[in-house]
Amino acid sequence: MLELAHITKTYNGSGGETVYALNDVSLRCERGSFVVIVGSNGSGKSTLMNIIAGSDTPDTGNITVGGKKLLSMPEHRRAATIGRVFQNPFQGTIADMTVMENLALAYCCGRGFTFKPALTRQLREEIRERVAGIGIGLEDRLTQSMSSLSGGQRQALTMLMATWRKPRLLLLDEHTAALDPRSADLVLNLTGRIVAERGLTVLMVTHSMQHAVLFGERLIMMHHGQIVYDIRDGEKRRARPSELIARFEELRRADRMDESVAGLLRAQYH
Amino acid sequence: MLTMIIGGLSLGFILVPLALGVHISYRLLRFTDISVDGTYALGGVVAAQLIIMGLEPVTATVLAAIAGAMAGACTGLLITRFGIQRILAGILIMTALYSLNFYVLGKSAHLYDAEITMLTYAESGAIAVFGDTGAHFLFGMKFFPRSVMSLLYYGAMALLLGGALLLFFRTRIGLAVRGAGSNEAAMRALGADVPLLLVVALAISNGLAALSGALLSQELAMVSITDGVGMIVTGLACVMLGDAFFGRKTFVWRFAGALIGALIYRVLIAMLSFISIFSSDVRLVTAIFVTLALVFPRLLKKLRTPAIAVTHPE
Repeated sequence: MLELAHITKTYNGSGGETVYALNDVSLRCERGSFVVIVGSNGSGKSTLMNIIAGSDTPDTGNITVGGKKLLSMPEHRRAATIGRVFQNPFQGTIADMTVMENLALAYCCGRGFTFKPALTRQLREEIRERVAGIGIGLEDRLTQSMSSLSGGQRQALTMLMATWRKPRLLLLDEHTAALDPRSADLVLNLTGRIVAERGLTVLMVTHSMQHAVLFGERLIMMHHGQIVYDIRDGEKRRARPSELIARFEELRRADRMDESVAGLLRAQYH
Repeated sequence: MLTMIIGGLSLGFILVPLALGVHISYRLLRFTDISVDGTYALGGVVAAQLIIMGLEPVTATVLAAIAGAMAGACTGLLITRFGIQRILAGILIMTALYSLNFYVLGKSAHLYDAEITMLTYAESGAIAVFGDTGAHFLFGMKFFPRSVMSLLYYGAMALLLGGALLLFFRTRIGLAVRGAGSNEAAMRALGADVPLLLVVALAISNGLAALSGALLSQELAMVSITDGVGMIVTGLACVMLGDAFFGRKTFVWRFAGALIGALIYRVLIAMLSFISIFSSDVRLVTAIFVTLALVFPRLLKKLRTPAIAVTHPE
């Protein structure tokens, strides 16, 4: 389904040195798999998401989704293939349009923004039904402006919008990190439900080790632009948050070691 | 009094396209598109030149609007294709159009010495309805049939145009234009070609400005390449007056507000000219009004905030 081959992305560090945001990353995900990605800040997980979605371009490498080459397509042409939910709950919806209008835009995704009337009676019915399906009473607020809703409510609607037509791949970029715990639970439950109901292929980045062990059947840990840890199925089911945190600590210790060695070397050469 | 109101409303309806155009760039796309100054004048000179060449006035007016739309699309392309700052792109197109308008007109100002303009239609309409074009009286107040017919024509034009635009904003692409003005990232994630939408919106907005320019130059029977100076501010004044009278938040009401705002603006200006301010002062008055409209809400907020701090209990 999703295949990343040797993706590398570099940028210039403050001292003019080359920094690898992604260093020769390859990854294969099967259809219908739910892959969780964890990693510290700057480990490259967000860059990876941006490159798949098309808001960033890699230096080298190749990406295919369902056999379709992605890199030659601009971001908006990938949208029919890839659904995306951002960390910022205000980024995925349009604040000063109504809930109904937002969902009508989601309906147009993949169908084209043509001169046809946007909100037909049939579509209004469909929207009402599917919003009611979320189960948080938003079907009574369809004509209200999106800006009148809370972050959690908006993120729930973004989930619905990103999956309105079944995307081949769903990218969840820390999509509950900016929400209060109750809203985060709500959005995560909804995520699980939608993904299961529709059999979606998902890449989910998260900072929460609890969520990382609860969701998905495969877990990937990134560090310094590389995949350092990749477990699935039985091993993934047995994983505990404490183990993951221990792994992080280990990586961090190794980093500190590197730094102190570098410091020693610098001291000798200056 | 009656002639003043009829004249003011006529000019107001002529300004409606400009107001709606500025509403699109300022409210929906959230930037002040100064190319409107150039495209407004472009509409005037293109219509004038075509009509003087003997073209039928309605056709000439439509062509003038299309010319304005093309110039607006250029502003959009400068922004999206070449990454030029939005404001600067507007300034560049406005400046370039100043020279271009001079070439179109062949001189800097021109009287309309054409056989047939929109005025001719109003006159023949007046003869058909009232029998002649002389002064008539209503409750002892004088009015001219020609200006009544102008009012009807321009009123119908403005309402039809407003309706057509509202229909456009109910289509999928119209909805996408609104979305792109508000949240580009979300629209990209939903698969919309945001740069294209921006170009389309600016083409519509500037086409409307050119339409106003074309109609006003015919109504005043005079055209000059400086006609467009400050028109963006006039458009903003209309939009803000509309907000003041229709302080509602829904899309349709704000849209209707811009339309009504244009009428209120022209009637106010007509009243000002009644108390004999110079016509060259109109732009100063407009600029002061827009400044106040922008500053006042903030001032109000500032005044309220310390008041709460002072009135704590004890």
